[in-house]
Amino acid sequence: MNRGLRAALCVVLAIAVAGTATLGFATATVVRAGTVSVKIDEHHADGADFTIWAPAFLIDLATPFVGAVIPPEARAELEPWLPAVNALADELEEIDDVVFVKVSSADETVRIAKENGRLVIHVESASETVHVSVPFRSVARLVRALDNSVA
Amino acid sequence: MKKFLLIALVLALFAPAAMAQDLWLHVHVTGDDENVEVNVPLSLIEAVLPAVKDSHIQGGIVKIDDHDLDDVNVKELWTAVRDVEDGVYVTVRNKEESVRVAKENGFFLVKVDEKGEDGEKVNVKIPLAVVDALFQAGEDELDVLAAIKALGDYRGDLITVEESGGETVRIWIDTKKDIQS
Repeated sequence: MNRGLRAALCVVLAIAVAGTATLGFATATVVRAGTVSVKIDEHHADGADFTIWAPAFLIDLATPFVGAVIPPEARAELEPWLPAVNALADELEEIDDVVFVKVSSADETVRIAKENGRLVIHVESASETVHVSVPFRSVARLVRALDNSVA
Repeated sequence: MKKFLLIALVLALFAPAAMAQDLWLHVHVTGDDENVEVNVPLSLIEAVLPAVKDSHIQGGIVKIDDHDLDDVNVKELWTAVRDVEDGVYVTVRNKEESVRVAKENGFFLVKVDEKGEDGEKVNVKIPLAVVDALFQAGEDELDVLAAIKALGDYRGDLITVEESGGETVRIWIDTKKDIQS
């Protein structure tokens, strides 16, 4: 093998290693961040029925820009409450899985819980089913970013 | 509405007992039409309450603007009750209801039993130390955080209500994170 070919192989090998490492890192990031899912099913003929599934790291990517999209009036209203919301998010991230609120009636059931580290909100009624599941870590990051942007 | 006001009041007064990390405040409302279950870790409320800054609440101390109480010095009234020996202070028994207000073994107890079809049964059991702590703040203020710390060792029912229609409200503290566990 001549010197030129050897150099070319080294470059290809380096690119392959870098590509694999980047892919591995990206996969690990997506897996670690988890997923966000939203399901809405309206129980009538023309009703919406869709499920959105997205990697939660998209929320993490968006958090630095949260401050920019909040109108000044909303900021002023939010500001006094953000330390409390921040503390709430931190605490919720730490505690074990639990059902916080459960409301059940003949027409509707509502459930707000922490399950496997995720905030889960489930509403079931005669007219619709709504299910939202978000990793608590992402919620906490979003709240912290909001707090930092307003502060 | 009365039910939710009661829940809100108890949450405000006792929820921040978050000093004990494994304690949970439970509110359970059962009725013919609807069941409501709320489970809140006290540690969470303890962490959140000092961070709430509002015109009525700062650092866990709640300001009271109730002008209906202007002519009544609730703190003095409480001190008077606190300093006397255990006993039953109010007993009402008539055709409509029976009411008993007492201080026993470190607890302030209220029991109301209304007769008739629309009658309600109410039981309130509050540790005296909690009320002491609540009133240790300045004038027209309630030290909710201090009350919660005082509540840290308590386990058991705080309030139970049984309405005539079969609806029940129970508010209590224990180490279980939800009603099923």
